Amino acid sequence: MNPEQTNLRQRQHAEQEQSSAQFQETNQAQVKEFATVDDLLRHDSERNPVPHEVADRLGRSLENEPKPDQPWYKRLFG
Amino acid sequence: MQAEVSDETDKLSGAIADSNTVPLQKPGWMTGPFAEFGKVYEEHSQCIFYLALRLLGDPTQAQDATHDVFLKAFRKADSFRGDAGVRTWLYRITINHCQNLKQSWHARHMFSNADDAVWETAGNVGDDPLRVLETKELGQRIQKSLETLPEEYRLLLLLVADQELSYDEIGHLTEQSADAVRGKLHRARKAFAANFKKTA
Repeated sequence: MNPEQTNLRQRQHAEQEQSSAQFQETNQAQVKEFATVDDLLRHDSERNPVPHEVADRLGRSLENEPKPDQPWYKRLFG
Repeated sequence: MQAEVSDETDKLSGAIADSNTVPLQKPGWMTGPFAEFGKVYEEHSQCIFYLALRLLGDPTQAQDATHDVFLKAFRKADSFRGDAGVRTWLYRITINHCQNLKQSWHARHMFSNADDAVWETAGNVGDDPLRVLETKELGQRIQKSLETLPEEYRLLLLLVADQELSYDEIGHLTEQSADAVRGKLHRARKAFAANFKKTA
């Protein structure tokens, strides 16, 4: 990552009304506190992993695809 | 915001999370002739699935969309121009794919017409921490809160939640300047937080 990107992302993070997420335990359930909407959505993303079935299904679909002249990554990255 | 307590939903939520996170053996195609594409899938599939999940609001449709997006990417690798990162390119395919699906379902009728003016008067509620119980309802509350936002706000919130995307890249994806993204995100966060608290 170049310095410009690093600075940009640092600025973005500063704009997120930052403070660390606080966690509070109760007897029966875990209460979580999110300082920002972004943190809440990131947590939601982590709680919703892509199901393994998708990879299996994609593999089956790729088997039916015509084999490319050159590897996929070379087509993508030259 | 008052906390909610629900033993049963917590147990259920935990069970669902456990079954989703058990590491499985890598599918054979990821180590075979499609290994390089498999690496791309491994690196980006989570963010693509999550975006599709929250744009479409349906886990099954999100799985289908994730499969279709990566299959399109494989087929369309020649169209990748390299002026943006692979993730940005995949996001573009995902956004178009989900928009096409929603149009075909006439799904736009399912979403309320949120009025910006309502959110502008939401006060400082968005500045408070979001305190929630770890239950399966959390995802439903997030989905409901997102769906009541204008579509552009929803997309911006989901994209900026990916820490690998810069405002410039989000602007590129949504065809606007980084400054415009920054301004709209401020309003979008505020609107989301206000609506999220109403769902408690």
